[in-house]
Amino acid sequence: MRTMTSRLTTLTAVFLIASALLTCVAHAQSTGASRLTSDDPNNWPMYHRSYDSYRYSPLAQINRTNVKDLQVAWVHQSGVVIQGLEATPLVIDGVMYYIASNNRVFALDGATGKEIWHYYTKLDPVVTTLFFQPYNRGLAAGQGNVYFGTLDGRVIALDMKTGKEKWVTTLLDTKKCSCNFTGAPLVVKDKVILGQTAGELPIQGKIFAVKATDGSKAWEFNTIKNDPKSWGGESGKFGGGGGWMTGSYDPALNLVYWGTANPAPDYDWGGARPGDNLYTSSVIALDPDTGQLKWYYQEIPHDDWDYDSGLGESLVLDRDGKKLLVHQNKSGFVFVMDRTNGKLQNVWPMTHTYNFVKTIDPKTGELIERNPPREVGKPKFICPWIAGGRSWNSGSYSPKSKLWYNTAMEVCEEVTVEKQTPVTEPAAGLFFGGDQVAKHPIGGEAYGHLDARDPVTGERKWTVHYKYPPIGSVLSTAGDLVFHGDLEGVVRAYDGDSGAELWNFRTGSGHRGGPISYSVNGKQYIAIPSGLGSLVLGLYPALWPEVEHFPAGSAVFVFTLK
Amino acid sequence: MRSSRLLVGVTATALLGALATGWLVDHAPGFAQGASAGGPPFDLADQQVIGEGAQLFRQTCTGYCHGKDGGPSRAPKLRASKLDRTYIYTRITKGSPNGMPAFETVMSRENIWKLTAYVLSLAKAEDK
Repeated sequence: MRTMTSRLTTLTAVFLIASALLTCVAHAQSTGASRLTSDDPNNWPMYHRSYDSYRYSPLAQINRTNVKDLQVAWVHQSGVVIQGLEATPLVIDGVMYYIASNNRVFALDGATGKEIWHYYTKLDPVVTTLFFQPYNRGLAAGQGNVYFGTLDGRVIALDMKTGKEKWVTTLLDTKKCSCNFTGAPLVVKDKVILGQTAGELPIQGKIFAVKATDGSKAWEFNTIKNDPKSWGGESGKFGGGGGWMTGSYDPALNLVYWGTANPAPDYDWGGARPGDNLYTSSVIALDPDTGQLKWYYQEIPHDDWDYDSGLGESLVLDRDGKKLLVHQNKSGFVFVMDRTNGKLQNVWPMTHTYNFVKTIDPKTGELIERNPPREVGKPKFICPWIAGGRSWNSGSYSPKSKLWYNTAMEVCEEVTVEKQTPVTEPAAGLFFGGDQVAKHPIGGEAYGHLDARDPVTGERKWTVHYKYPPIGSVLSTAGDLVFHGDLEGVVRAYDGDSGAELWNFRTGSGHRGGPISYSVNGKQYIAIPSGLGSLVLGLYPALWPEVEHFPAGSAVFVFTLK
Repeated sequence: MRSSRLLVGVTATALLGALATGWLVDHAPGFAQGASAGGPPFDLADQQVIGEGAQLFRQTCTGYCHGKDGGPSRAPKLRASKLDRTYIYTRITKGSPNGMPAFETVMSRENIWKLTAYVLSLAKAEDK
């Protein structure tokens, strides 16, 4: 009996040790690539939370019944308010990671906000000469590291636990190209993928992959096709493009989907860049292992308006047996594609204020009756404005309600095209080919809205109006809630089914970043990045002079139930 | 001798007056001050120079930053701002800690002076 007990004790001990070891192994893997494809509802492990870019949290502890009881759990100030707070935080196993202006990175206790570590990189002084700075929109995580692209053209991996540098790889000659990284990378298997800024510069923009373990370059994809039919004369040398925001991934097809930026110069006075200018203003599907192009769909052939495709989310969506990709172009039109081959399935407009085309054919994608600003020196009235029918902020798709919660801007502009010679020495200069000023639509005031729509057909279920067109991203949750912060600094929770406002809180500065939800020790939290500004904010005072004085800020507000 | 001293005194007073009102600072080619060492190689009131500066402004100070024609934006409004040329030249050269890029290493000194001439013309323009 005694022996039996002893054996049982030994077996129990062995079992406990084995369990502990397995737990350790699981924990060690928890920040590995495999964790990113699992759907731990407590985490927000990547920029759009999941590879399908839904920005949807499966957490439901906070719901439409109790959301009125939300209160502040903690606030974290980044310390630098220049260009506000544009990022979407990550949360993995109870730790929040976020990046602020000047590439300041923080790891915080998700329950208390207490700092675990911070990392402030030393930036090259060239950063102060750049147009795209000092903001950053997010981090990526995997292999026990957090990754980010820097304002001076590097990619950095930090140990998630300590914040110590694991490796640093320089990918861009920022002193020469005036280009950099401002978007969040995407970790796919053993690679970190990220795209550069280039759309307003006389350079060739690329998308890169580096190995997650050591930072060595795995591949690069040039968004400027080497094809004289697509780029007449020398224009391709200065073609811009790039892919400055974060893509999506379909593990089943092993394809990464990335939106590319506009060609340079932004405006074409006629003959500036003959051809369709591939692969700018397009969605491209790449093999993440090799960087090989599998298919592309150019949303705006020969983009005449700076209507990027390099913004927001690419929804990976299955419906009626079809594998779809839903992607919004900056023009305000939403393109629905077969994500296996890029064949167009539908096109529909998020906005109703547009005149750059009469319409876009939903079957062929043809831009019907294009209306480009071409006459040098003569102002032309164009809708939507250069900030777009939507800016780079993302909507959110709820697989529960089957609705896409997405923002829109009903604003126009006056564009004056001007011939410009590209400047590449001593460094690349801005290459816009014109300038613009915001205008109200004919017969009405400019405004913005948040809609709940079917992402495939565009059918609208509800709309909330805003005086100032919103530029913050959206969060939806399994608690049937939609969170969104406005330009005046008020974050609201809406009923996902009706659009009824259920809760609000004034953070004191407008919203440009991405709200998220996560859970620590069984308690759900809502994190709201707050803080203006943003480059596009500079366009607002022409219509709303008071926006000039809207306060800057940079803080993460975290809420939970009382 | 006496009239000579008087002339020197009057000239010095006029010079100080010109400095005080900023007239000399704004108009005289070659007048050096602070970061504008060497001074402008041309008259900042020259309409051709201002026109070339306006073109540079449109190409580098887009509506994202300063408003069209120096109108309202998130960056300081330039129309009717009464900024002086030294401040303008220095700010374009060195940028600002609030996020304005520094153009010192990416733009020629001559072009920075052309931009200065244009912004100076905006500073003296009527608000609209």
